[in-house]
Amino acid sequence: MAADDIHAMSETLAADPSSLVFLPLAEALLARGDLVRAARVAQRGATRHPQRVEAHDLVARIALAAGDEARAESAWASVLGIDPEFGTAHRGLGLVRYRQGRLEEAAEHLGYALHQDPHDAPVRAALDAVRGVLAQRAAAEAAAAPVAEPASGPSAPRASAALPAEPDALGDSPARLFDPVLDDTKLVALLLDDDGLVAAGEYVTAEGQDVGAELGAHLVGVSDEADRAMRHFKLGRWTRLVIETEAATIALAPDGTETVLVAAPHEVPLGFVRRTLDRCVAVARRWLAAAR
Amino acid sequence: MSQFAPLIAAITRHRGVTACVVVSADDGIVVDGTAHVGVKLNAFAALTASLLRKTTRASEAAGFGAVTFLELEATEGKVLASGRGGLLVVAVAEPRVNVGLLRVELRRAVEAL
Amino acid sequence: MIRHSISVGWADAPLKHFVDDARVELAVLMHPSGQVVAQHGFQNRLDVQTACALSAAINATADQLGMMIDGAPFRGLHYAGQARQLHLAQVPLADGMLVLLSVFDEESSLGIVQLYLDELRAALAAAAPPVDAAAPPALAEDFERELNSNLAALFGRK
Repeated sequence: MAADDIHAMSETLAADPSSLVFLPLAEALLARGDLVRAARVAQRGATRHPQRVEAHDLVARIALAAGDEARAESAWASVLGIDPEFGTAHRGLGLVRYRQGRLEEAAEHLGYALHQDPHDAPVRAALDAVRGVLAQRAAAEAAAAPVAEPASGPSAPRASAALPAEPDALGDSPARLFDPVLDDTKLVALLLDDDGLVAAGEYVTAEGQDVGAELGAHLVGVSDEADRAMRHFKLGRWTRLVIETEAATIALAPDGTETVLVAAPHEVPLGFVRRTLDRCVAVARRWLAAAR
Repeated sequence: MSQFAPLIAAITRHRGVTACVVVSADDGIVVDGTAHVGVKLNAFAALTASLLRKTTRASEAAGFGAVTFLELEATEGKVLASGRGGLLVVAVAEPRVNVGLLRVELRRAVEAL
Repeated sequence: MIRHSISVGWADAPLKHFVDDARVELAVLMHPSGQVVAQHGFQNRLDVQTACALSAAINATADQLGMMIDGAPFRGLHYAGQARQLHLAQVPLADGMLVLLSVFDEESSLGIVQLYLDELRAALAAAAPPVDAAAPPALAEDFERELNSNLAALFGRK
């Protein structure tokens, strides 16, 4: 784009700071390699238009170009908070996770991005590479480790299966949806619809009692309460609610009209619970997308 | 200056904290607090207290016991709360706040209630 | 004194909104004389009239008490019972005052009611029908007579 065009867009933005011209202007600056100015324009625009996914996506892409992966991650998380199905965000996060070596999460995001655009060659190549490494690791671990007994306590998770290559088909048991994420931990995860009914996951106590429905019914009201609070707080949309109780830690995340819930015994580190919640949300999104 | 002023000052010293309020847990009424311009203390007090009451009822019904700490994370900020003895301490913060440190400070403040 | 044209139902939507947001069980908006403007949650008409008559009397008493003690009418009353609480508040309009009675249980709280009361006041001020300049003003003695007549009907005296 010619320098004159950039100048003209700058003038337009200066005259009307709320104009959406910040989007093409920041793109043009990014294309020219002027990352500092591009970041400034994009960030101001995203602040003025917090509900525009394109703005946050642009902030993320500029940050990634500048090598600021943390900033890119945060911006793409904002994108997914507004539009959980925004393919570019999954693509970007998949590639970031791949570079960070967080391969299970990379596989989830890249799988989703590929589902959205099956012709995205770089994503397919990255996903193939990630799956290859994960398959090698799984084979090595299976050969070295003894068979694990199911954990006791608040959850009774099944033995870990191979990571799902594509979003789970509807034919697979929804109760097992989160098994690959939960693995042998003592955490439980549920996907609740807006009536508090369990759509996926299960919570079976050590005594064999399925208490998922009851837990879901009690906690979906909390999700509604958070929605009400946000209308007054002017802090955007809520993305996560973490509740520490005397016996457990519970984490909730909205996902469209659904809510993902993770519960853990008190001794599980808080950061691990939050991370598990994020991964369960990603799994739930893929599963729901496949169901539509 | 109320008895809660030192506790509130300790929390608002943290970078990124935009408000801190001590709230009556049952009523959701502000006991004492401070906030940046534009932050509505009454709304945060009433609605956070309501959220905590609802969460506590759900947690106790589900067999998890009383709630000791709550963090509500949003795209443009966070609300953290903890309580004891009919009072809550609520902190409102920007996304960049160090949640780990603030959580420790809040728990310390609640012990002093 | 309020001089409004009769415009039935103008306060229904704002009151319903308040009831939903604040999660109160019962709410009734009334003239200071006890005449109902809008209500939500009551099971029968007599309960509404009873609540209005008593609330109007309490409001009138609180006004006088405030004048005696503080030189200005008391505004707002909160009563916390065992399972329920009530809140009585004034709603100023352009040309007078209405009274709102809210009854709530553990689903709500005083703070929540006060929070949404501000929104209700703004919504009612915006929704209030225009003042009917042709209507005769309600005189103080009319108000006293209407209130006394409501209370007499309530307590069975003629």
